[in-house]
Amino acid sequence: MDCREVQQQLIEFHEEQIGPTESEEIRAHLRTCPGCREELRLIEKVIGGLKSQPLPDPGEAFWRDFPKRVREAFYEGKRPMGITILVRIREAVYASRKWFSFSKPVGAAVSIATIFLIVAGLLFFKMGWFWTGSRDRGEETLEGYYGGIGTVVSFFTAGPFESLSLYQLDDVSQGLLGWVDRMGSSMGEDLKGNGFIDGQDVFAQLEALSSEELDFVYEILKTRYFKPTTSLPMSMG
Amino acid sequence: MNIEGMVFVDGTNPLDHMISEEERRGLCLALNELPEKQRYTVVLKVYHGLNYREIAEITGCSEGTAKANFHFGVKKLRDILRD
Repeated sequence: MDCREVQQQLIEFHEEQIGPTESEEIRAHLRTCPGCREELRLIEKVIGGLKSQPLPDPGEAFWRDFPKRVREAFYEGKRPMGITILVRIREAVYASRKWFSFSKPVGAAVSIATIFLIVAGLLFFKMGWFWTGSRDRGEETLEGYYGGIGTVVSFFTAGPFESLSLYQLDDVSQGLLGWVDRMGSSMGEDLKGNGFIDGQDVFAQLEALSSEELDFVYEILKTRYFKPTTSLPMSMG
Repeated sequence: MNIEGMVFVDGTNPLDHMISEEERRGLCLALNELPEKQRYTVVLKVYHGLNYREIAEITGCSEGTAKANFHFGVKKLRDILRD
């Protein structure tokens, strides 16, 4: 291996992501080449130096795009038909509200009637639903999966007529963390074991949030991922 | 123990790997100045230990692009230390 080939692989070598034969060749080259040793030393310093720092926030742009990427992942991924139908109904409710400017009581009546019809429909088609017991907050909560009653309820309580409670938003953000964690990320390390919200269910809940609620979820997410420990100096002086 | 005399198998010395406070601050500032995609990639890889496939999923690019972003990012940070 010449210097160019070695230097192209030094990051992978440092990360131990190349095979034993190539590693040995690089080691042999490093023993005799001060230039490549210096290159490796700098790479190790960069990666080691960053790791020794508190985790920096990736910046506003990252968080601005993050919901969009999650939404895209949701739309590109497979989701149960029940959720798709609910999304469409909810969009229709939104649209009708826009056109007819429902008063709050009328809107509430429409949503209750819609919930009743959907629940009846779901039960008719024998879709699964169940109660979950109290969580750590000591609340009795109704939780459902893939078109179960809980999803319907939480879906519409997130709708135009009522806002999600703080707890519900917190659930969504925790569920999202769990989803990221299950994707193989270490981001949700502190929330491991938080498997009570299924990935698809989280997406459905995210889908149901207004932009203000979504912003709030990401604020929670941001605080949990990136602890506000970073105070970068404004200048080197 | 005299670490000055020690040599790693790759021929480097433990003292070579130490990083000063000034270098650390410089790295942090430089990280914030990297182009967006390179910065995300470096943060996700170094701090979260994600692999290129996972980074590609999160940042919405190909695995090859994620790898290239990491390489360019680290090399720019390396230049900061070299200067």
